[in-house]
Amino acid sequence: MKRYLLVLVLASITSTATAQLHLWGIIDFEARKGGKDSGLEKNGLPNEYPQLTLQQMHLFLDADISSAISFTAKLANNPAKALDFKSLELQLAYVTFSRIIGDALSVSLGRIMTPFGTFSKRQLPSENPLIGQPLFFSYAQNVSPLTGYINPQIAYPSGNQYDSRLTTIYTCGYYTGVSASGYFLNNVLEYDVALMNAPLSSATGDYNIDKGLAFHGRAAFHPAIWGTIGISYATGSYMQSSPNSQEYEQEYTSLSNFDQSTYGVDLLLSYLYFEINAEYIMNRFDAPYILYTPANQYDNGYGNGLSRTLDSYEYLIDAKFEAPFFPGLYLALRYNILTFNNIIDPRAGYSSYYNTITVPWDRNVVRSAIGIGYKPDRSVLIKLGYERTAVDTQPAPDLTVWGCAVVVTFQ
Amino acid sequence: MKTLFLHALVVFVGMNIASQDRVQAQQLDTGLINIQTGSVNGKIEIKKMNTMELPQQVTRHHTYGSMNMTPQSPLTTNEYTNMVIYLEGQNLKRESLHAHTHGQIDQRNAEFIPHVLPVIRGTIVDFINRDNVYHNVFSLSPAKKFNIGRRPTGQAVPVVMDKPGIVEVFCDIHSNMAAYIVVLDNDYFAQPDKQGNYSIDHIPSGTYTLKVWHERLSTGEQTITISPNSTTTINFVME
Repeated sequence: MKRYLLVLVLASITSTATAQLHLWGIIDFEARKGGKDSGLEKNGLPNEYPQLTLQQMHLFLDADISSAISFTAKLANNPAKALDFKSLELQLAYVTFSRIIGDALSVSLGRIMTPFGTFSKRQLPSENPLIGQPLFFSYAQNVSPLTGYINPQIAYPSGNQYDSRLTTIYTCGYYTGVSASGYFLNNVLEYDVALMNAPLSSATGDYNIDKGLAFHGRAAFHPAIWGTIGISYATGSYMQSSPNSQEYEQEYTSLSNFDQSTYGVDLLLSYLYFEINAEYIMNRFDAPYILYTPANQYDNGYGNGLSRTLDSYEYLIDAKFEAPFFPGLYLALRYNILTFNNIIDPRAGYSSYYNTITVPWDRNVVRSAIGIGYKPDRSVLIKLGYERTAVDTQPAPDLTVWGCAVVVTFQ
Repeated sequence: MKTLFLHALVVFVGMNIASQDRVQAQQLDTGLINIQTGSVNGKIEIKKMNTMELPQQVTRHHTYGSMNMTPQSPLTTNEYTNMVIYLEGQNLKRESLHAHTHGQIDQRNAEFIPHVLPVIRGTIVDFINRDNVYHNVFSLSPAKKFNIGRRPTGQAVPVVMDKPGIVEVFCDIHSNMAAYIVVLDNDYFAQPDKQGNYSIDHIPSGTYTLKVWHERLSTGEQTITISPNSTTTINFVME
């Protein structure tokens, strides 16, 4: 399947030799101060600041091969990593066949953006009115594609592969697959569904292609010009088999039987100079609990094998108000909550005493942000932002961040 | 009392000037004032013929809210009709004849129509959303900064073009959309036909600068002398 997709994408790239090409890009230069050294990979909270960084770079190639066929590619860095040449990834490379059945069907194939929710399509620094990202994009939770549930009381050595954690939606929002989209009734109804090689939480999920494709989809209803209501759903296997998991799989079950299932509702309200984007996401990881000793040996005790249902609930509200008499100026607000359900204490396998004790499987997080932005020119956006993250731990860490970003779009 | 008198004086003087303008316009239209005029015409050629086939902008990576709205036939754009050819000169100020007239730019199928609109300074341009999705029309050009926000279908929003210059108009929701309002100091301008032919008539005799503007091509410029009752032919090759 993957080979066929690659062949089709390469064939379209060859066709772009005679197409109308358009190269453009975005550079995001940021200065930040504040925060606490808490390790991005572990819990998604910002690293210790101050920083002066070239935070993001996106290079786009758009090509209209014909009036019905177009090709889009994007080379960019993962915003969770420092920007250098090694971190550049081909994040998008897809061919779109437009209006196959009028407005009702267009098909894209290749490396595409997930249709789930709305933020992945407004994540570019030129479109995100604030400096930070929502928690479902950036908060790495206590769940690993290699070991399932990560007991926060077990400390893996820094950089250990089993300590790799997942966000609800993969930080860059791209996956490889095929999508179909369209709209009906003069734009009143819209749909976008995709079969992907990876679940919502990971773009590096090529491992599960032989175990079944993941589904990502969204349907939207536009009752009036000022409002859109969307519902999203995604499901797919998210665990990654490895030589070290063979023992576990022989004793219990295949890791491909553990799924991530995510439901979302989004709402867009806008009128004149106001815009409100709201999203609610309910995410579930069916997770095994696998422990490894430092020598990568499977540990048969301490609650191994007990599967857990790891649920999380997220609310996001983004509000933006443009100044009517000062073109280019806006004020933006964000309020973002991520909460987790309780599970049986991980020590239950060690002692039956803990069977009756439930604990949250991760720390609840509340993030609020305020920012102003100004466009002196269509191609330049200057953003000033303040972000405060509150976490359910004592003592509460200082997680306030001040930031300034200069975003330049070039073409 | 003094303030009232001043107000009355201002109103009287204003009405008198406006009245003089109207009389002069009527006299011009009916030929009562014997101003000797000439014409200029010619043909504009685009050297790089590939430019003729360029769409206004290639479709960009789609964004939320765009709802798959792309220009219906971008490959058919004729670049000649997106040019403006105009005269500059000291004695060509006739804006008072046309101030407060209206121009119009529609937003239809996620395109601005027309793509290029030449107007005289003081013209009110009405922006009308003909789509059933929002557009957020704005300009950050020095000649005119404005943001009309998200407007319902059919609502006309007037914006006065009060300074000469190029006003670049965009949509904050659909990044493909762009329009250009060329605000001029006088009404001696024209837009070529699809073959590049143009003509400007009733030009008072004298020496002027004839300019050609296009959004992507270099500006063409030539000094011309208009003689009474004669036609001057000036051709341009644009690169």
